[in-house]
Amino acid sequence: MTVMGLIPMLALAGGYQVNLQGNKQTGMGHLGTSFYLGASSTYFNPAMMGLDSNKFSFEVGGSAILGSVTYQNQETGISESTDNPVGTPFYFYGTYKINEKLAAGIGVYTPFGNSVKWGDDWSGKNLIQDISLRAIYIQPTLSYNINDKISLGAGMTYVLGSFEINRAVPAPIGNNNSSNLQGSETGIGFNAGIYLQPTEKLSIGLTYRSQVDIELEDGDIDFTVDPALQAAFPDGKFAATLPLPATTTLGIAYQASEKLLLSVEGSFVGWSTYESLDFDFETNTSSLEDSKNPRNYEDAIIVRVGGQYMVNDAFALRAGFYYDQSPVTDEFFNPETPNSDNLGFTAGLSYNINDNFGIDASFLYIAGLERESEYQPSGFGGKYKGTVIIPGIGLNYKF
Amino acid sequence: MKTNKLLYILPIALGLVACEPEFDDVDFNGGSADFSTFVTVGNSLTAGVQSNALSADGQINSISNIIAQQLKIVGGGEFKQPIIPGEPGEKGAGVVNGLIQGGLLVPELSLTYVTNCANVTSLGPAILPAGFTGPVPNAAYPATEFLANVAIDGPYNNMGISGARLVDLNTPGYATANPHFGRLAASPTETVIESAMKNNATFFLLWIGNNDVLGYSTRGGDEGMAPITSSAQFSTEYARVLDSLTKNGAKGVVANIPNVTSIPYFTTIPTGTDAIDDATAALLNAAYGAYNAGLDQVVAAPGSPLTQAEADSRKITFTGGQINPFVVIDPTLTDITSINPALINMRQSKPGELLILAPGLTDSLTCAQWGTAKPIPGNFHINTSELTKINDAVDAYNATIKSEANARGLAMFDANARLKQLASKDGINISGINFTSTFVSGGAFSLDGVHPSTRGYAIIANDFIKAINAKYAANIPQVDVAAYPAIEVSQ
Repeated sequence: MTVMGLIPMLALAGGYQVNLQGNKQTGMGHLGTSFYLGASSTYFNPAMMGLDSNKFSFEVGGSAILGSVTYQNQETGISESTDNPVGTPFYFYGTYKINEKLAAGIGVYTPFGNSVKWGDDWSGKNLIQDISLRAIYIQPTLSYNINDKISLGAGMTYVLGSFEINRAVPAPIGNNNSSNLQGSETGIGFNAGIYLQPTEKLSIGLTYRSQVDIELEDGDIDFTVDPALQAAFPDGKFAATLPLPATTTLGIAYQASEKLLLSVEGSFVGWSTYESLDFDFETNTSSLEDSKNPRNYEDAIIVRVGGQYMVNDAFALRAGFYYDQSPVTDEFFNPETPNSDNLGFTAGLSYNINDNFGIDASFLYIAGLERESEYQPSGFGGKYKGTVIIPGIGLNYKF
Repeated sequence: MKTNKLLYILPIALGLVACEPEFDDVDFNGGSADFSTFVTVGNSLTAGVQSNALSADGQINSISNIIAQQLKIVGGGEFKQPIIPGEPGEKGAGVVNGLIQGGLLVPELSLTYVTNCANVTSLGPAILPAGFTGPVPNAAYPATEFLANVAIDGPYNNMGISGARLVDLNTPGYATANPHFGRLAASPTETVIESAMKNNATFFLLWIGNNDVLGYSTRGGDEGMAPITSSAQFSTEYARVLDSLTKNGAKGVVANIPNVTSIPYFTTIPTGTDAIDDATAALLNAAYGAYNAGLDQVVAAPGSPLTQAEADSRKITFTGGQINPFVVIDPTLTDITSINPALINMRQSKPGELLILAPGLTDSLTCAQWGTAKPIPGNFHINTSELTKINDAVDAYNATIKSEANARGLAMFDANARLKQLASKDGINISGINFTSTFVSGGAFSLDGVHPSTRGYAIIANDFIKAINAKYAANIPQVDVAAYPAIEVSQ
């Protein structure tokens, strides 16, 4: 669990999804479902693990998420920005080619996370002061090449999830009342992929990653309240469920020339599963009823385009773009996940030092489109706009 | 080469992130109105009374001052208030009670631990700080200092006069009747409106009329002590006040009158018992048996003034295992005490009737068997016919206020609708705070159950601003309600 303390992240993609699972792929718009780029295919499309010519293949890497969201209340004119800690998502992949048909792999990666820090005394403190949500996926996987044209892959995911939320308690008495909720729990899911190569130049990939529910049974809630309120707000346990939604991705890649690869992908993320964030407190009082926080997310799509140009055998350049739709509606936009439709602009490069060892770097700039939204159940709204830049670096080793 | 590129990228990256996304400033403006000189005319609600007293803190957090400070952003000028002497924020200092009786100045109500007649201690409003056992420290609040006339420093932009009715605003000599105006009047004969008009205001806020019906209501419906201003007189006087305020072309905003059922002073004390046991019910029924039988005997007598229907409505019964309506005195019942002195004007409270949040009433209900073995005196109870009078008056006043505002092209804040929303089950949600009209815990009212809390005033100030913005195509910034303090417990 100590490892998890090191990787706070900012909500990058829709909701609290974080799409940074390979620096090669990130460099070209986080594309990688329909063409093989190394051991990271364990994540991008497990059907492709057996396409490597090497027996063993490894990738490791990480990114630094440097981002901020600014809020402006249109009625008061107040403008405030987040002071988010630097997020550091990481990944590790290893594949082993058992024979020409069968390959095994394992991936450890962080596809969901959220770290937003608005401050203890900002105008929305009664909704959220800061949140840190973390999920580490561990995914053992097998792939099978049916023939030259069709491969299949599947695996299970074991998820370590944890979160911590601080928010002010808007009690009618006292002015420094706050609550801290935290807990960690595991979840189980699966993933599967198909890879097709109908022609030498054209390849198609389809993947599905299942929903994983982090069902927290014994979270801790700790109140810091006015002495007069201590009986009304007792410390204790709570239960809550946080869904990590299913994602379906279809990708097509085209080898335009010997050096140029182009690809396009579409993802469908099942965010509509996130209807409400409910806290079931073990001890209820007349002031502390179970907390129902409607989210009413909608399913969202991501569209990506990108390409890779091999300057020579050792040096690759990449670029890409994506449009990432926000699952959050204008009526249920909570500053805890300040997520707008995002435009991502990416660039990347790889350099292979020798046949076994290479370095991958990527750079991602995310422009969050300005939106004016409200969290109606709490009566808090305004304009939001976010900017994120993410440099990333990775290493690959194969033999 | 690659390394060089990275060295370029990193500083750029860090530079970019140093710049948080920014918005252009919101375009706040005064629209078609001129806010250069702003005056507010009204009663304790515009003066800034909270928890039964006017203090410097209350004046600073008054609707009038909150709005005036926001108006400064769109061209408003200085807003001078007749600040009560004493240090703002100092408990018990700089405080003038809303009702000064016997020349005593009493501190505002504090939220503190109060031990009731049954020796149960809980949080509640009290005049004295907890642990304070001595007499009310009148000497610390000399009337000469707190009520000294400050007209020489006027004119004042906040002409909210605690206790003022509409019919008082144009009354010469009101300065002698009400020391809150006595402080401000340049002469004993100067009227509130004359004093307010010295500002030559370009924009005014008028919220008046609450006390024309509230005095009657807070006394449980007492025509003798506090008659309701007739709707005809209200209409005439309201027009007269607006004639004065708009005389020089000033624009303004008015607000209507909330129903008493939106105010915790009238909704906090339930009109019935907790569930009682069978033995208690039997005991009470036995005690009231003679009264119930006596009513039937009176009806049966020839030429009886009492109808069977009234007799039946007056009969008192208690049922075990459930809540029961309290027994109350109702002066509107037919007086039959000349026939049988024991048959006093009592009955059980009916749904919709109200008890007022009078000091000591809860103790009397808890320990002195009021409402059960003894009827609750009529001055604590608002009965159906009194409630009808109150509601009719409020309806008539509000019709006048609306038509006058419309006819004169003034903005109007529908305070009645807003307080009804506050009194509804869901209340009002602002920045994550749920406000209701529940006493103390609802967050919107101060400890007297009539006047808003600091946050309540901030909410209402925003509502006035919204009304002004809508009428005058203005965009005056509102305030962040959540940034205003909640009540603290005084130890």
